[in-house]
Amino acid sequence: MFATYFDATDWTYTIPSQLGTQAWQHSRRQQMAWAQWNAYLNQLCLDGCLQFFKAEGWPAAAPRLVGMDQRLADRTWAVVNGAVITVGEQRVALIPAEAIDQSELEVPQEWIDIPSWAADYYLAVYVLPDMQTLQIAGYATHQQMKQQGQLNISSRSYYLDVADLTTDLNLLQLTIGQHALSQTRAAIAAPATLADVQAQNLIQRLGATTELLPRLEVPFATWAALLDNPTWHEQLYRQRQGEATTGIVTQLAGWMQGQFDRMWQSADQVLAPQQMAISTRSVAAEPIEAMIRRVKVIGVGDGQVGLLVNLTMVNEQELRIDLQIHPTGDSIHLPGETQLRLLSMEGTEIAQAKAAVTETIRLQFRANYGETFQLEIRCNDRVVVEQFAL
Amino acid sequence: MPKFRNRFGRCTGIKWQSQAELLTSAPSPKPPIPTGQQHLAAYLQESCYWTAQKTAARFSQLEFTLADYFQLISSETGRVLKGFNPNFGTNLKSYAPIVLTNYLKDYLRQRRAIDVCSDWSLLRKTSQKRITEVLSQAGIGANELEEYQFAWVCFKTIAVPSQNPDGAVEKLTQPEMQQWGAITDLYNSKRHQQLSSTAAKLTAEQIEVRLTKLTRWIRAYLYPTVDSLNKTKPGQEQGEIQDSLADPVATSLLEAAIENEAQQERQQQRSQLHTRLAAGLAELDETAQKILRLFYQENLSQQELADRMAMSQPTVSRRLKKAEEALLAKLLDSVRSEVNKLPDPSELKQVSLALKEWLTFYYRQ
Repeated sequence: MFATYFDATDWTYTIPSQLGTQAWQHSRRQQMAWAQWNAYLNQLCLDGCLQFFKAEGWPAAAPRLVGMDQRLADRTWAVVNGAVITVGEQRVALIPAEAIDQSELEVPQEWIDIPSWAADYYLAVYVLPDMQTLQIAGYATHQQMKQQGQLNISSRSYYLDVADLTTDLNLLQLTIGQHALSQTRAAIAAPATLADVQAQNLIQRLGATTELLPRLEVPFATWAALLDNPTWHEQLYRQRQGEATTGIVTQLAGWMQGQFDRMWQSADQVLAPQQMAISTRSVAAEPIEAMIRRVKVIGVGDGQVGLLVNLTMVNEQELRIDLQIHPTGDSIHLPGETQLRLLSMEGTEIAQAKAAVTETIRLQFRANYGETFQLEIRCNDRVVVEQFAL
Repeated sequence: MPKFRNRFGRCTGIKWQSQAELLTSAPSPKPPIPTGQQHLAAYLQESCYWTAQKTAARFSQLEFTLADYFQLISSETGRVLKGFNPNFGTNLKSYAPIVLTNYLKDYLRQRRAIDVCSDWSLLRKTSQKRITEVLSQAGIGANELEEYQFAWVCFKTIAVPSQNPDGAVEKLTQPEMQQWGAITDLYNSKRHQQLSSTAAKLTAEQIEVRLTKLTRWIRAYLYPTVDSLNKTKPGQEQGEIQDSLADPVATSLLEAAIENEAQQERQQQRSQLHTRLAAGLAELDETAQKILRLFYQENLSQQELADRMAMSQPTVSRRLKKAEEALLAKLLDSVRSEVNKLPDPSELKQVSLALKEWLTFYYRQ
């Protein structure tokens, strides 16, 4: 209200009610109360800013404005405040805050000191959901945050006084992409290296739902190394969501040499003859003998399903993968409506399929040696994730 | 504009919420304020008066008077001096109202937001910086201060609104017993890591007492008792506000000195800037020019502008921004051609201020 009386250029927006409702619904996907609220504020901030920037033709120059991958957003907001968008080559971090006294920009250390997270610009976005208002108070560069900002080692945030922010966003719009990296960024150290075993232990420990402040629990360097790796970050998120991940990556390349983990049994040991018949029905184009077929029994709540993997070599580089979900043992139905999603290791969805209790699921694709993917099986509100490497 | 000198003496008509008894402020010795700054503060009085008058006229329905506004901003001239940079051809006297108005705008916004906030919402909606200021002003020592801060972090982690606040004023209620338990568990389990190894274990009651005190201190801090101009300014304890009000002789001498300081080079810079911007302005379409004129010359608010132009307020806002953006682009081009490169991102804001200052000056001629 007051802003519009005094200043010709203020970046205050009314948040459409629909955006608020959507953000609230999305945020309920998070397990923990803090993460739900954090996701809500960030979703409002991200969607609101994107909508307003686009409405204002921002940026006027060529570079494209790209939002944040939803999965990346979800796993970020489970543990850290802030979002990132890109404008051409430039990364712009949107840091929402609720403070009425808009006296400082607080940027979590992750957004400054983790190389893969760092941005060129940081926007101070005040989100006032109860007034349906979003206000962008100004921005600072990475360099300013590092040089003029204060790092508080207890809260692990950089703080910059609002008086040091550039308030006129027209300036950002007009100059974004025109500064050299040396003008926007300060030097930061490469992240520490973390052995996979160490990372898996950390994921178990920090992923516990009883751990309310995971980002403050271990030294920053360790935490940074974990988050710098999208696969580990994704696993951490799964863990905090109470979704089972074993952390074991099934090596499909080994299967070609006859190496199987004992969890992967031959198909006829697990599937009833009727299911066996269904499982080979439309793979008929391939001689069944040329195929490697293994099943893993996966517990989903009280019930269980069989995950069947059919592997066929296409050529030296490529394999055909046929994934199926079947009832196990004597059961003729799946324990509930089931969804199978094929995801990258970072959690981006590649494909998905759904089935009612009376059906089975099939998903076929080709993949190259060296590639990785994960499967998310959702049944009876339980989620199980299996990871694979070729 | 009347010559303004110590006219208000004691301000008694202000209805501040008095909770000062909660505060125990311990003045610490501070370096003396430089005389030059005092003189400049005096020099800026006119700007303060002008800004206060404009605000008072605009918000006659609020509880504040012209005197209140004047007093609020005349202790903030340090802000003006901190941000001022004459290198971009700006003039202190027309730059000052921009900064002071922003301060006042922010003050009013905060007051309005705080008035409708429940105590527990307020606790969530206070910055770390202000929490620290509030605790220091309440006389809390360093170790205990960290304990308060960490209890506040635990509170913010646990006590989150469970309803979509969408549009309705958020009234976060007192945490329930089970939440106090969770806050306390979190505090106790992390205290050795976050605080010193000697930090004591606290009960839920103790945490609740501390956070309740903190909410009271925050409100008291935000509604200070400003009872007179004899109040000591923070950081400038050896001088009273009255000391920085104008002495007419000193003012005129200083004005002369500052006027002299406007050297030829700067004059030239200003006239170049003027020519470029005036040309840029002439290139804008008629509507854009009209909006700018009504805003800067007739001081219409965006809403008044919207009514006058038969547009929505968001449209007016967008048009104003676009108009200024076009001028800003011109200004950036001329700065770039002068120094052969784009100024560093951290220096850019001066360019924007120079534009606003120029627009204010241009339309008030």
